[in-house]
Amino acid sequence: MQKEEFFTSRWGLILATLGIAVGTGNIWRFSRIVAQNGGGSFLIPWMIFLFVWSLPLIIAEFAIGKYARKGPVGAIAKIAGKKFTWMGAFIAFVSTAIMFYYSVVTGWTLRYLYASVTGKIFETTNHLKFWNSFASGTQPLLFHFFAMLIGSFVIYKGVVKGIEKTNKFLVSALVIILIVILVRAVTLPGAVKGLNYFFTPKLEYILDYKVWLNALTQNAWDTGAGWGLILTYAVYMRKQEDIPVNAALIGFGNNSISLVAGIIIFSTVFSLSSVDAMSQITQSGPANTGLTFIYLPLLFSHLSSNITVNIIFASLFFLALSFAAISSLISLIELTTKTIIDFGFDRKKAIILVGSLGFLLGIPSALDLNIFANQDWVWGVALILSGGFIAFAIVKFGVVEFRNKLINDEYSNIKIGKWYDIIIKYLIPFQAIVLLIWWLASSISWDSEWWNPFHVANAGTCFLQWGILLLAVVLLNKKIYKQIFGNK
Amino acid sequence: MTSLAIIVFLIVAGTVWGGFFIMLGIAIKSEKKNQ
Repeated sequence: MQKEEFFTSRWGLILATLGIAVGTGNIWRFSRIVAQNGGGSFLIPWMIFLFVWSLPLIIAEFAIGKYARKGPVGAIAKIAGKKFTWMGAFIAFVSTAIMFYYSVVTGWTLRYLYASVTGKIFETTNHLKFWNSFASGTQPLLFHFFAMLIGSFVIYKGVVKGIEKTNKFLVSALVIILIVILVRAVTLPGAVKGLNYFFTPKLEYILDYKVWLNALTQNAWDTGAGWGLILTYAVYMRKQEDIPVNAALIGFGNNSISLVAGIIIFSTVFSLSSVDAMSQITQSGPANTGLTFIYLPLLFSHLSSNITVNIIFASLFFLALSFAAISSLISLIELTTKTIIDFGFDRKKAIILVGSLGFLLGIPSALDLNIFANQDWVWGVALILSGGFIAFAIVKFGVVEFRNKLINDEYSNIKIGKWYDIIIKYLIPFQAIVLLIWWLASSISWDSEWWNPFHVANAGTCFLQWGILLLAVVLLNKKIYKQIFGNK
Repeated sequence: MTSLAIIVFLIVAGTVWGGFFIMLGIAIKSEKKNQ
């Protein structure tokens, strides 16, 4: 029998869970999507979807994990019933598939941190060439290995000495670093131009349904809500922990950090860019990395005539990005490890297995950006299904009973009202269906062979990979259940 | 900053940062009570 571990304090739980939510998406994706969707016009729907997608699902994950005390597979089976174990297996697999390539992203951030600290990032003026020579070589493989090694070591140390202790440091340091960069960014000459763009709404964008769907997508991808990760950490929360306030702290905290990152990026780009700032901020670049790995290093080189100052700020930026990436990678590794532990392995054996497989199955994404982009597309869109499955599980359990017994328990600091039932029963499934149809239908506009499963990003490749996964988990439903719960 | 940008900043930052600090206050109060 393994010794059960719990987060030692409420603050340990909050910082660890914030570590899940705050990732590279807050820093590099958020600013690009804001710029592409009309600046201030995007911020309004982005804020609304925090309340109708992210927060309800974060609350749900906390409640499910605390009640079931199992990873996503066992937890969904316990909430929705034996017949729906496959839904939990789908959620767990999607986050595991994301772990494989997210470790590659973490490796990129570590590589750029190294290049910043050593000043090598400023030895060139052609940053696109710098990125291409890095991405097309074998270095991403080496840094992917380091990222998996760091993440696996933290999980090997366990919940308290590994996850809690590491996140306390990473998340606190990340916030301090971002505040230091924020002060510098907003005091740059011309920063106010960036702030004006960032916060000024334009009516034509507010009336555009695509802006609203992009805002919902950003919430679905960036808060970590509906991925099964918060559910996994909630397994280790103490019985006397509150759910509603802790969940709200994660949702508001995550979006607060996005807002800080947005202010930093818009102020810096508008202040330092010698050409059209908007064209730089909205460029996706290879695998959506353009702004972070190509344009920002260029801008940092114009920050001051003193190279040491430029090195310090570039290093701080990539340090913050690395911390955000590592804290999220840790949670992805823990989800897979916990799932394997539920299957009867001990933590040490499970982490050796997950670490090795994570490295091996991440290799294709590390060596080929097309494979990376394909995996990012297929499993990123699948997360919307995961969120829908969590809402479905609660409906099967009984929404009112779920709210009254699992959320509003004797330890909750505030009580959640009936509005929650409507959101889980109707709004989350509606949003998931609309978003799924929109993303898959959109692929027709950029790929005339949208049905071809061997293209990088279209509906066909999603249907093929999801289809194989769904077939496997549905067929293995009984076996998976039996492996976790025995003959109960 | 333009006045429109300031208004949107106050609404968005007020909700997101304000929401965070209100919840943090409730959490701190509750922890003190439990000690």
